[in-house]
Amino acid sequence: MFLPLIGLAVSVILASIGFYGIFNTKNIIRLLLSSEVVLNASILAVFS
Amino acid sequence: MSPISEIQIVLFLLFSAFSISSALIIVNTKSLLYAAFSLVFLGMSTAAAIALLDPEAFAFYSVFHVLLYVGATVTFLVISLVIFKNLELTGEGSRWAIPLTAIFGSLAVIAVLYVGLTDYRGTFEPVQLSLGQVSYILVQQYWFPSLILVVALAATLIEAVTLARRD
Repeated sequence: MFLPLIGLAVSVILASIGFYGIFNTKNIIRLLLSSEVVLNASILAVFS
Repeated sequence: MSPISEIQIVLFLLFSAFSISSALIIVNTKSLLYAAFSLVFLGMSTAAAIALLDPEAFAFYSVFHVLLYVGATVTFLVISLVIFKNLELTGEGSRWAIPLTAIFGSLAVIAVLYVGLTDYRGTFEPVQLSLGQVSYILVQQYWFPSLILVVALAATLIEAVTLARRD
């Protein structure tokens, strides 16, 4: 039963990395890539 | 939900570590092409982690995450980067880009969490279909479009690798 908990923890880490990337770049494409990281994190959070 | 085996836990931890390191590469690497490539690995490891959470229930979604997300979205990004390779795209003149991306990113997270965590099911009727049936349809009925797709994706990725190595 703890696998979903690890999944949630990983998704929180991924979302943090994604938002860090969003707030620390001026490049539009890098912004897009960072938002994709946040999207993957939210999908993993839902399935966890 | 099927019982969780030890190998499942080990693989889940492995893919979790893989996805976190891919995300770090996306944020930190200087080459945008390598960042886009890392997004491929992030998508694949996320799909694998989702499948490992409950193989019976989520394997189907996992396959479509790889097919649609990695196959279409990420390849579109790589193609765009290949086309606009020498174009310097910065948000210097657009201060609104960062807060707008953060707002829309947060809205996307809220929407996905709302759909996933509530009883929202939409108007779709569930269809009983196994992975074997889907792969049979793809290989038997749609073999030519699949072949074209595989060749096109491979050519694009090889071109992108060549350009990235030249930087």
